[in-house]
Amino acid sequence: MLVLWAMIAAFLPPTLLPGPAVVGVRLAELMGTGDFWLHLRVTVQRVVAGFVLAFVVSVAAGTLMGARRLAEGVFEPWVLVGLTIPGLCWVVLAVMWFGITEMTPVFAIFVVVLPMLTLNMWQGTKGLDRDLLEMARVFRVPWSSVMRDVVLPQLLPLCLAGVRMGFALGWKVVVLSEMFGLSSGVGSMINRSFSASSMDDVLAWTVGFTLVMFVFEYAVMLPAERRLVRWRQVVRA
Amino acid sequence: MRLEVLDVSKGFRRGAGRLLPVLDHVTFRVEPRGFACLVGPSGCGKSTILNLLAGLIPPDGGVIRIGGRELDRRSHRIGYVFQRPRLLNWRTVRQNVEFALRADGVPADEWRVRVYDVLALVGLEQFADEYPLTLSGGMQQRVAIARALAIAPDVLLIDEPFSHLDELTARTQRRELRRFRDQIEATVVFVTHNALEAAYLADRVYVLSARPARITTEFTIEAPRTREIDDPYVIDTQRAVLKALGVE
Repeated sequence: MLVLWAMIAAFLPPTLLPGPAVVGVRLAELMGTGDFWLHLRVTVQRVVAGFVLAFVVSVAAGTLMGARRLAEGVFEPWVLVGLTIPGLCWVVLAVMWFGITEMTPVFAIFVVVLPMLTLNMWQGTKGLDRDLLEMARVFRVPWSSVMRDVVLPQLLPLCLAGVRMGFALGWKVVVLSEMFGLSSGVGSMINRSFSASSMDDVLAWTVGFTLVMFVFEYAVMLPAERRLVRWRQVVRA
Repeated sequence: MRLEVLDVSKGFRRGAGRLLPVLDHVTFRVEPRGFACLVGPSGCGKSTILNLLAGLIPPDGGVIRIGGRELDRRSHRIGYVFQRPRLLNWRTVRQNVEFALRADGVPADEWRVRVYDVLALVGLEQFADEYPLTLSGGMQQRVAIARALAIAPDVLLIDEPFSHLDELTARTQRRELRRFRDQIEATVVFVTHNALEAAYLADRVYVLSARPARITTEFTIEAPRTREIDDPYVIDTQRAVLKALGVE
């Protein structure tokens, strides 16, 4: 990827596409100032807040929809409509409703991520193994144990997928909303660099942000996943 | 304990209030520690009988007694082996057995011995800490048998446990079951559509008609429980069962 970038950059003026070396140096400078970490922290906090809210609501709504016809009928249109509304629309609405406050990014992330996560949990709950539930009933397994030993292990991989999807979407939405109306966070920094026509800075912020995503994926998500599906990996071994 | 199924009928409501009769005055008895096979054509209501015996659904008429008392899920212990193993694949073999022990209220300090005993009985004691998916289909089914036996059931219900295995594996598993059958304390009801399996394993064979199921014929098998599958007596019984089923 870096090689391809360097090759294309060699043919274009640096105002359009500076090479990876230039951007790398700029990124290192940014990281040295402490500003980078400040804005990054603000952005991550917003994503986490919006995501956690959406996640909690989606687990409740999704499992209810999977388990009860009535809930499915009531919530299904909301989920479907929610899925089709572009994230950008929500961002604009959020800015108009909440102005330049922390509510704007958190709300935007929450409403964009929620339908997707709910769909995930809903389908997952419908896919629960009925045979195992019947088995638990035959052995008169109490409700708490059914949850812990039968239901949760089947839903955990879905929750993990939900975290992945939710965060991926959340990053996109947070940067958009920061560009629109906030003075802090990675998005607003990209916007400021854009106003100053500094391509080096725009790319440095984008790359820096992407690197953080990578670290999150490899340091948190993959190990968590590996732990969760250990029983499945045994088979392949 | 003695199992008595007396004059039991069951039907299911279909659309427009039509009643689909499934069991028609079914009566049979199994002696304490006896091994009875129910043989019938596919879809005749064999699984419905097992669900009734497990207390999952109530009969429309008639009565089911275990040890002289009417079937009650709270006081009678029922073990169930399904067509498929239905194990928790994310739990080890040991934890799968403990799952049933905990539900039955067995104190935790007894688990170790109980788990070892039942796994040793089905010949899987060295696999206690493996995950089910690392075992073959036949071994998984034996874990399911161990899980059912762990709660020391009064009645053990077994639903075509080898029907989804290939014939060679099924033979080995039947042989295994015959090996430890005499150590099962429970009264066993074993459902199958395989007449040879019934003749090989059972003390008594009850033949069911097509739906609505009635008991049409019963056989008492006098041969010793250690009989071989190619024993002429077994072959003759199989033929008689098939004849009662209307095959041949």
